[in-house]
Amino acid sequence: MHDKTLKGSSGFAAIVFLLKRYLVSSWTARGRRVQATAGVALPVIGIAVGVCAFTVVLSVMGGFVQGLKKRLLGVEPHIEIVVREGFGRVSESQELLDRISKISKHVVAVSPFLKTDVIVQSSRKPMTVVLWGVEPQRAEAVMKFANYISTPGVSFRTLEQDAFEMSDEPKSERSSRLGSFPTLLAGEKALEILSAEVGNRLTLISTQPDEGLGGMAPTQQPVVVEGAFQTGSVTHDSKVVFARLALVQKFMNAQGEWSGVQVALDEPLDAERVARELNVALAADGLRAKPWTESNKALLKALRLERWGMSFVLYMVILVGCFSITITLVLAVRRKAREMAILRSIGLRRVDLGFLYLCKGGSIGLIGVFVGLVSGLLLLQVVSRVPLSIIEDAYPGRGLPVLVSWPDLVAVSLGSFVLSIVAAVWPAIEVMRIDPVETLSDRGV
Amino acid sequence: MFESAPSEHAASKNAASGGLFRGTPAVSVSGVRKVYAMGEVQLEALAGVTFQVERGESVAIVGESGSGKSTLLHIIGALDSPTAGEVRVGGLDPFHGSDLQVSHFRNRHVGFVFQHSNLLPEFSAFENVLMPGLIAGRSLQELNARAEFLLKRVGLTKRMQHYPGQMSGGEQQRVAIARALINDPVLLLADEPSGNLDSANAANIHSLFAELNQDFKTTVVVVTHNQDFAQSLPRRIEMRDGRIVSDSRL
Repeated sequence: MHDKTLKGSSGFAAIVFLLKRYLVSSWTARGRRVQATAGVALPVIGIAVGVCAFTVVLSVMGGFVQGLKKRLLGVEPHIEIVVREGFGRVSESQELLDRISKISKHVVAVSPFLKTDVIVQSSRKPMTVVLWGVEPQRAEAVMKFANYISTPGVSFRTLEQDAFEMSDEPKSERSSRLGSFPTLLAGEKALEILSAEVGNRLTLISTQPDEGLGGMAPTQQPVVVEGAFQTGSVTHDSKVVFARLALVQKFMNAQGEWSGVQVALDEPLDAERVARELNVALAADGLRAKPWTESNKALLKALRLERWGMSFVLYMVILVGCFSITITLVLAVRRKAREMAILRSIGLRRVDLGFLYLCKGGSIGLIGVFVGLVSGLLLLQVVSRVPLSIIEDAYPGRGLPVLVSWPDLVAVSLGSFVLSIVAAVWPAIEVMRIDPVETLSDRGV
Repeated sequence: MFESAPSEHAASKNAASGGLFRGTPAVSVSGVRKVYAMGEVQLEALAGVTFQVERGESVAIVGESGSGKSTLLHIIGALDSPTAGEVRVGGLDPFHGSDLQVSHFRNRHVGFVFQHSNLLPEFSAFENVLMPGLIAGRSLQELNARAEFLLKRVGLTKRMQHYPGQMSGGEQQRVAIARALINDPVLLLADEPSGNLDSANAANIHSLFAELNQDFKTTVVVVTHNQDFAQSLPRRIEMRDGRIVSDSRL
């Protein structure tokens, strides 16, 4: 028979009281520190170490990736507009530049370019490079190249198309410094390979022979190195030289033609979305927009993979911390079986005891996450300020680059908290199985 | 006469008049059997036990070890369930409800005192006494007054904030008795409450049970090996091999 007077009671106040005591007060109680250390501090440390490592490693990786992207975007356009198919060229058109500028409000600058592979010959050796022809003013607006030019007083604007034509510098001074040749900017690494330096004369030799008076022969153009740049990107520093667009057009016999148009955006991370807009608008012209993410797909994929791999490893560290929650709580269930049986005998339900252990696991996780986050952020303050000799080349006079991603940290914290509750499920089931009669009775029967 | 706390008056009314169903016996045990299966072997701990305890009565259950007296006590207190038969406490059958309802029954209607005091070592005497009240969801204000009254009543006025490890066995058992009474149960069950105490402390505990029975009119059922204690109580049930062999009143 089921009597209506047999009512349920709420043990919530008791659970809060028990939890507070088991987590906090027992820590301070005399003679129980060892127990409290095993029951609370060790799993807290386990979780904290994992969260701390996650915070530090991902933030430093984020800093490195941000630096890398910054360098990449400093020398590369956010979007390149090229012909849709093949390696054809775009006809020179001011109207096209104006139109591209107006397609999206995020487009802040456009710059036509013409590029080709050439052989560059110094007095000592030759090498193959990519010759970029750019319009100095427009190119400076698209590529943040000024930061990387290591020769004082030199920029895209000082590049000479023909001797003495473009520079504001008095002709006599310039002539004595550079001679009467067009000039170019070359990467420091490329100059090192060529055993050349700023002011040296080089010869550009086309890879496609042209028909001249004496039959088929490669076009040659003497030039002078006006300045050097160092971007930190090996590809650019060893393989790229810049010259005036008009010079390259003349050299390649491609007057009135561009390889494409470079586009700068107000927000580089929006490149894929803006590229889609441009693609729709330029489809009829047979052109397509290629965002920087497509040009660097392999690199970005590798970075993403590295990040996923690192996150996986760090989650494993947190998982190990969670296992320590399971182990210590299971041990606590064994050690406190009699107390749990007493609580059952005075009216606490099975589910209340289970809930108590889930709360205990969750609380340990919460404390661990808090300790891990705080210590991780403090550690980041240190590593970002203290210069390290191993990164001296890349980051002279400063510590590791750091970019704290709060959404990532929130996700890690929540994930760790949930894992710590999951880790308490087994102990919770164990404590719910305690039979008060078996446990409290001396003889079991 | 003992001083009374504000909550004590209302509480003892419950015990005396009987919460649950008025007019019903405090305990009614009818044809209760308990069989433990140990592999293929079956051990019959209780072989059809029938008896009643009226409200306010004090009963000693005696018998040799293994006679089934502790098993019977656990079943009356809903810590264990019978294989067959019926048990009612204050007219209420605790074995046909959910774990929530059985727990509520243990919390509100029965108070347990074990051979070992079974106090929670992380909690002071006062907090140990409060615990069943907290589980019942009663207000702290009401509980504080009741716990203080009960601890004074069992003679531990100066030991309220002491932890079990700082108290003697007799004092711990007094705390356990106070804890058993915090929710003013219909029935106080004690399993060898003085079994671990020296004779002086045991005598104190025995007289305390008698006083509490008189003061609060709480029905008391005690399992004991102590003949003096058993004979001091008005009713004595003797068990052997899972059966009641004698039921005598003074």
